[in-house]
Amino acid sequence: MYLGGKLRKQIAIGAAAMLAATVLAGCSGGSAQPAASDDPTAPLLVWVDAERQPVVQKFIEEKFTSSHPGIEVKVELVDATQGTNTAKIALAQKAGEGVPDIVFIGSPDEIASLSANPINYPLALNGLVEQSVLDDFPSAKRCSYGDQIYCLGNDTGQTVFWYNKALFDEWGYSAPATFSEFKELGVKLAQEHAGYNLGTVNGRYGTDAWLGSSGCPFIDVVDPVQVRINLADPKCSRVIDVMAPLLENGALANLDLFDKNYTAQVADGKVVGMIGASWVADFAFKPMFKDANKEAEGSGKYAAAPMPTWDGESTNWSGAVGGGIWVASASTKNKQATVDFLVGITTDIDIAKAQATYPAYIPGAQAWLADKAADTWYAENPSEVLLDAANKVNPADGYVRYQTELLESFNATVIKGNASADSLAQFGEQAKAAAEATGYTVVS
Amino acid sequence: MLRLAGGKIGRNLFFVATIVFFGLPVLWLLLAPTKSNYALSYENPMSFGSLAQFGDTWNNLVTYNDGIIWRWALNSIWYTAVTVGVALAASLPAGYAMAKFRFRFRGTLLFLTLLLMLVPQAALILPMYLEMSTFHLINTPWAVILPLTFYPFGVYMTYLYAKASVPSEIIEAARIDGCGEFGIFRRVFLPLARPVIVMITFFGVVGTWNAFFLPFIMLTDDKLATLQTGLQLLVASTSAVSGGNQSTLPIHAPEVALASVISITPIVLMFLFAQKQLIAGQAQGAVKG
Amino acid sequence: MSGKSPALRTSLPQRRLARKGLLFTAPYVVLLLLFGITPAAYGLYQAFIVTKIMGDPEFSLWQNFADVLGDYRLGTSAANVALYMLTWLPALLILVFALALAMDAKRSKFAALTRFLTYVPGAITGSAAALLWLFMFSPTVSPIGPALRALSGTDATFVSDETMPLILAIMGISAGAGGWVVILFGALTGIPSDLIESAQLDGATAWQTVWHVKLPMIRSYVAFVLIVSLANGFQVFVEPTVIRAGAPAHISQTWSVNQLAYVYATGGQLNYGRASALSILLLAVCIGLAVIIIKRTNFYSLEDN
Repeated sequence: MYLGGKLRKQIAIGAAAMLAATVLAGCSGGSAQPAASDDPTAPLLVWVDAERQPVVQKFIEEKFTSSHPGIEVKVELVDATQGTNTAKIALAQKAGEGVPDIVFIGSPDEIASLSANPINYPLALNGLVEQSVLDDFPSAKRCSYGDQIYCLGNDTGQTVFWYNKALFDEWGYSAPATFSEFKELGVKLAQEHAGYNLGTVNGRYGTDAWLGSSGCPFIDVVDPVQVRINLADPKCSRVIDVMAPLLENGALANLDLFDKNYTAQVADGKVVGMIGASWVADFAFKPMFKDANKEAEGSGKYAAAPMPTWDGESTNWSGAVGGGIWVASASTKNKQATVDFLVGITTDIDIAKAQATYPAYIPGAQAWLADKAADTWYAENPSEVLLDAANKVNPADGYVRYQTELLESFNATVIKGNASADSLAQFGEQAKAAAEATGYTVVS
Repeated sequence: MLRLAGGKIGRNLFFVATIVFFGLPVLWLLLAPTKSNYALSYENPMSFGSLAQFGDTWNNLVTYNDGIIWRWALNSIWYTAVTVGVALAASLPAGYAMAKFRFRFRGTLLFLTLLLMLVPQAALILPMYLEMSTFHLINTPWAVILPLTFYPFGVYMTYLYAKASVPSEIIEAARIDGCGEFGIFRRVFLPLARPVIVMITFFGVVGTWNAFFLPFIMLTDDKLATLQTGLQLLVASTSAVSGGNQSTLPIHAPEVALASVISITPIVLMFLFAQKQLIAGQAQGAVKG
Repeated sequence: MSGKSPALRTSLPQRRLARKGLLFTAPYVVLLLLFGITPAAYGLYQAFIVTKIMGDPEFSLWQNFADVLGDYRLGTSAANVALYMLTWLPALLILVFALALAMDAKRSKFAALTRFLTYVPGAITGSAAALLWLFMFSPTVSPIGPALRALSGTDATFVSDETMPLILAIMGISAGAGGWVVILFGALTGIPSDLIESAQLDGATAWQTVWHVKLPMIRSYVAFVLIVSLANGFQVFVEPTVIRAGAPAHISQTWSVNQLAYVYATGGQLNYGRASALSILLLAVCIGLAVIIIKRTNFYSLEDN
């Protein structure tokens, strides 16, 4: 392309100016991270989302200030949408200022980004938090690398089988004990009661709940730079063996749980069961009935059954969908107060009891479940099933940096391809590409 | 063809179709706060709910965190006022000079102005943040205000207007009358440029008022948040839009719609005002012709 | 331009004017250097810094560009953007010019109302826009539900891979047209009325006046609209992001190329180098097109013509 002499000159001068500034800018880049230090009077900075903000303020006013007089705690409201906190902490770390000492992370996979370059944010908690306390956070195993634990859970999304007990009783069905029975149930349901379904396997329900509980190696984290992905593993194929026929006959849905169309199905009582997280009954089904002005139709019907067991397993492993975490900064100026705050906020029984979702801290969960036992919305007390499942989250799962990409690939391949063997292989390829793009070496 | 009788009917039909296309979503949004979450999903989309429901929605929104929404609104107002003030003071003389004076780097300056308007924002996240950090401005309003005072769009519009609609003869005549260059700018150009001043002020206000990205990364203290970022904080935490509401806060779709109505009201009022000014400007412009 | 030195060619008052030119632009130049050039230059520099998940960053002239061009998502995103441009750009330009010219032809109150309403949707942003468009495109709750049902044949959300470019184009036009209409209408009203009158006295029809008088008179504005629209199209970001905020399961976070760049900068991998590299590639496309338009329209000429 020919450019007129004048225009070419303008571009050349512009480019030269940019280049000069580049050289200047290059000189000021990069700043080293200060290590954690101990100044017992240094103030704390805490980042939380709008949901937790009042709770945290109350905790500080009523508890933390009296046990730690003189330590100022500043609370900042942040958006806990997936990835946002990570991006903001990355910038703060890079600038070396404004890094929160403690942060609430809504999507736990972010810990995988937070603990790698260029961020290197979290504080390793072993040795700082008593082992007996760590033991009461079974979900914390998922954010450990090597022997070090980097987070304490806020809530967990262990999966169970939620089902409409009233309808099951009426139809003479029983909750499946194995996934073979689940498949038979799905076939029977489609024949006898077409139009009803056993939940959705879209996105994170198919991946985290189904593949996750089966222990399929698709997010099997070896260390921060290595992940095992092998969708040819029998632990993956046994999942699509169940999914494929049921997606075909409509006994499993392929819509997102919160899709307006699926919400309407839930409110119409068409969803008679679902392999779903601990919060599905309280925060999906219950409000969906309520929003449709059908509160009465949903009440007193749903119950939790233990996860079905995958063929060949002796334990009925659970998957985990979501679950917020609390993370502390490795560069905090006041390590003791930071650790105290982190432990305090996550082990506070009053907070645990009042929170919306299943607490990750076992004593907190027990207190929380005591309230559920009295909730007549459930057909029967779900406490025991939920408590049991919390300890059985399949250890093959880990938190990864490519979680969002993974869910998109899963929908684009397995869900779109009705869980065919080909679609699973395609999913494997995309998962591998996504893992490599986020800095993992993939082993099989 | 436009002069035929059919032209007028065709034109008005075209306007009606346009009004429906652009107005329908707006009307839906105006109606949404008067309805319950249930009514939004299960009743006639274009129905009016009730004033009582609107009152509930209003209370849910404005009582959140002791009415912090008004603080956010106040922040938005003063950030916008300062930003646009500075941006205009820098852009108007620059655009005028580029159109009417011949000087070194004029072309380069124009080219850089256009170039920088086109740079994708993703590349600027880190640089902007580090620059503001160097000046120790993170978590201060200035980290939002200063970068937005760079207003290449305003410079361009002024340049285009001065070039196309302000005849050089008028400026020459003023020079011969012994007017200084700054005097010409102030007494000759600015009055003539009223339409473009109104226009770039308006676009500047809207751009700053709706700016999301800068305040979002620069301000972590929610007391400094703007209306846009503050509401995002609230909505994101309740998943009021995308579903999956694992929240005890009473923020649902109607509250989000109301928040939006509150935040666009100043812009709408300003547009009406600006439109009046534009027409006044045209009347004045016609005199010169 | 002759080869004579400026001192010989330029008379004294002109040199004074040149100094005034620099003086008038000085405040803007300071802002441009501080908040335009400096961050852009640092972004440019970042494109050559390779982030390693473990170990120190490295300098490489080509690594980030190679990684970006080899990304498994880039092909899909580029195809999406191409399809979007083909739908959105012609529709936007035709609508914007038709509206501005029609409003200019008869400056009625009705035209003013139309102009006002075309502008308002653009003011609805962020989460409210997500809510609005999610409801607009969900057949069961949408005011245009019957039309959507007729088109898609189902009650399911209208949002799908096939309809996505159309939906985003509708959103893009709804949010973006109003601003351009205001600008073009403003430009048209700035044309001295004696020019139009003399054309009409010469017997020009309304269409001939548009083609031979009005459009040439606002040539610079047309070029500006073209350049910025093309860049906006190639860098489409807001519309797919808004849809994703409302219906995350229906659209990829890397639907467009610019979204991919944004994911590099803020997503799981936090790779500013790749974000910069991809941004530079995007920018190069936009500059290329801008230069063609500038050349063709003689955009930078100082003369009023």
